[in-house]
Amino acid sequence: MKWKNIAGAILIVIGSVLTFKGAIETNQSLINAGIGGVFLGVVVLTFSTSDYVKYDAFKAVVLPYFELVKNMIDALDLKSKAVYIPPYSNLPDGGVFIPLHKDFDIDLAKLDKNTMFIVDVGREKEMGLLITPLGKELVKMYESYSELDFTNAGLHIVENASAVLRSLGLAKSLTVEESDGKIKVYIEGVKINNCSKICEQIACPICSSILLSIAKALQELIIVEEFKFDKRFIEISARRIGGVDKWM
Amino acid sequence: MDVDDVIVLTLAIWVFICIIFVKTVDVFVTLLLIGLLIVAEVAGGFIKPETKQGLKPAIYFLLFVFLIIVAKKVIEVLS
Repeated sequence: MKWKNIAGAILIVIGSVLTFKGAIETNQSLINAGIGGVFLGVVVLTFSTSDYVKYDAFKAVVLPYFELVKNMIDALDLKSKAVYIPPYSNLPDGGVFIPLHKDFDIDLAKLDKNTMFIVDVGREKEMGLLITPLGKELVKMYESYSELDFTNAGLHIVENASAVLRSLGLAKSLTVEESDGKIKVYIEGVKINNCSKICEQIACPICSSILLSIAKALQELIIVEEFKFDKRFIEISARRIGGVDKWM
Repeated sequence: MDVDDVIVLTLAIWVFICIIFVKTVDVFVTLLLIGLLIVAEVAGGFIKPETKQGLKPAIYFLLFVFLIIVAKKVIEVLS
């Protein structure tokens, strides 16, 4: 970032000098070169705001957290796959509910952002683990980059995430489609390759953000059916299970 | 290569081509404006919001210069 700032400043200085010299000599080509230099300097300075950490450092910092959460899910012996809940009054950022049993029930009225272990309920079918989606910050980035609100905007809107994932260097492309009530997500060129079967319960921030975006865009709860992965390609199958009103 | 770097490189190539082939300042500035507007529109989804905000003053300034060029041409035609 520092080098980009220096390069931008040098371009602006050289451009200004050339413009001034061109104006004195009434040489239009020199003025053009000067204006071009100033223009490029401004562009370089504008694009030098991003600050990145090295990939190895990122992995070393973040992967232990993934392991911790995955071990926790293993230890709790939760049977069902994850249900992604779109944002609503009790959970403004949405949520991920991992039911205790495959035959589950959710009472969204009883959930809130301060609740994690849902055990204090009358029926065992309602028990499970409620966590804040790991990808909620990425969802905010998808919306701010595309300058769109995903809420109830339809499934197609989720593909805007593709540009952001590519821009951040997290994945190369994203395709989302729906047929016969089944939602399929294809993610290619994923940078963090830490997938396992446990992703069906607790997905990494990339997959989690996409599933949460889908839930938000459809304003329906969605349940993960299957995760398939091959090197840097991930295929996610999910299904709609009704809107917030249905589960209240 | 980073997406930001590709955008900067694209604009740099565009500026370089314009410097070589364009002789008048009016046309040069107009072409810079067109290049910047195309990049902002086509690559908008890849650019983070803060950077987009940072590009806006440059776009507004070039638009202002473009308006002056248009006004100058209109006056030339009318007189």
